[in-house]
Amino acid sequence: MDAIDDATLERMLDLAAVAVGDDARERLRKDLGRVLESMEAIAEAPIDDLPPTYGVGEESRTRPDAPVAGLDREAALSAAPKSADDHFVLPSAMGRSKK
Amino acid sequence: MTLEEHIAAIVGGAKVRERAEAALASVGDDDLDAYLELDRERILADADALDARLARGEELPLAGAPIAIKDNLCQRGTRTTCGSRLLEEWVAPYDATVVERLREAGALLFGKTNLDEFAMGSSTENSAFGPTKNPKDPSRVPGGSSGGSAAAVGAGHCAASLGSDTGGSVRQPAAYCGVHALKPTYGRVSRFGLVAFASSLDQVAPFGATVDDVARIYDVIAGPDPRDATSAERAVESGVNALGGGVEGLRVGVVRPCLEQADAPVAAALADAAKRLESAGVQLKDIALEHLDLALSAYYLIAPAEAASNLARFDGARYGLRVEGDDLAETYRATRSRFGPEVIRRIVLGTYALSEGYADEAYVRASRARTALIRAFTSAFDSVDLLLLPTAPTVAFPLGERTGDPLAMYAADVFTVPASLAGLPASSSPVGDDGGLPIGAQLVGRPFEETTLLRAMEVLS
Repeated sequence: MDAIDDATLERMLDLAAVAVGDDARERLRKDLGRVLESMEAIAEAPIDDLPPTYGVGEESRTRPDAPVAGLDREAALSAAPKSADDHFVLPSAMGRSKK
Repeated sequence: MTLEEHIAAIVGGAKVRERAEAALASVGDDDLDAYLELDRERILADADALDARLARGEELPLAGAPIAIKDNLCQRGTRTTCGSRLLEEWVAPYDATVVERLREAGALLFGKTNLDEFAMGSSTENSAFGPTKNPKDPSRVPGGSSGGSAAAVGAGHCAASLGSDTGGSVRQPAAYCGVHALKPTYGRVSRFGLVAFASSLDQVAPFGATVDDVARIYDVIAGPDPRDATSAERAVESGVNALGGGVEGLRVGVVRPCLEQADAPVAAALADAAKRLESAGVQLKDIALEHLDLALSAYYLIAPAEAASNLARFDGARYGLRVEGDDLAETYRATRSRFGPEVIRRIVLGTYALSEGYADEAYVRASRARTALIRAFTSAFDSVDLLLLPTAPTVAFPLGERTGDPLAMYAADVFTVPASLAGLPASSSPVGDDGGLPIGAQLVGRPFEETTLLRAMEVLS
């Protein structure tokens, strides 16, 4: 696997919705490069014909399709970083709210 | 005091409150920093309530024993921080299933223990609230990520504790702190209320000072749970009842390449452990498990990929910390940038592993390697009943030694991630020491054969 270049790292940070300072960014790029280089064994292993395994549990089951009580509104809102009028309050998705 | 001794004391007339006060006193002013929360008032009030339940004649298998809980398990009304600034003030509104089962069995929920942030680490140094120290040598790490839970039992603060094991996070700290731990088969114990790190790997697991203690906690927490769709609909054979069954006739495969890769004192202790098993009637056989060399790489692509997905929920909107930005996207970014460096490293690595253009050669290929490893285990279990290998290649390393080198830190998991990827039950038991620092032996069993592991652990102890 190739080392991560600056543009790729920038895109990954954007997708992951995290920001880091310049020093931390360079350290992160180097660390990720080393980690990916250490994974060459995977790239070279004769495993092309094997199916991927995404889970190891027994066959997943579903509950009956019936309504069950979840957290009540008060309990859910008690953990909210900000709430008002029985609702979660979020920043504007389109830029800072005028209000 | 072990769990078994605690129960005997209660049966002999001791009060849970007395035992709770003794346990709190044992924590005292030590500098191990095993706990993120130890609420004396709440613990003593709960102890009084347990004394009242016992006085009413309730049958409580855990008899008010103090049990510490890793701080990524939800305990109603208590902060559950996951060792992260993002959840520093978050109070769980419900109990994890395992916590609920401990309460019903009469456990005294003792304290919330320190961990690497979101269980990502092998030394507990990634906790946002500072590292825990090893009770055998406070200049060294206790292992991780469940280092607080292992240290709490190793120091004798509590009768037992719960941790979580994704790639070795109970087995490796158990080895470093000289205690026993059992990671059950994936699906054997409910994950409901365990803050998710890597959902296809995470398992809740007990620590104890003795095998009997581990078996007692296992019996309480194991079993199906309708709130976790991955929990197995299987009856649970009692671990306690299996003890004393011996190992006569069992076939144990010694994973020779791992012994050769380990430090000399670790390899020597494992060789002695193998001899103990042989003396007890086990047939030993050398095994060279195929594809072991792929395990660490596969794990460090799969687990970060799942973590990147699971940790997307920490966005400052629904719970936990919010750092306000100019708009929603900037709020997400500002909030999530408060993750620690290791969590950010894994989120970014996982995002890479799942991204278009890279997923086939990273996540999908790692998942093919996982298949190869599972098949290698299946093949090995055609000829043996258990596998024996070191829990970790070294004894506990000094605090700070590996914090600047992620590859060196990840290497501490090299012998524990294979069983995690295959979802197999695996244990760690102390089998020797190097200059006073404990050495752990790992046993790996077939799916849902935890009782076979417990019988062999008993011989090793």
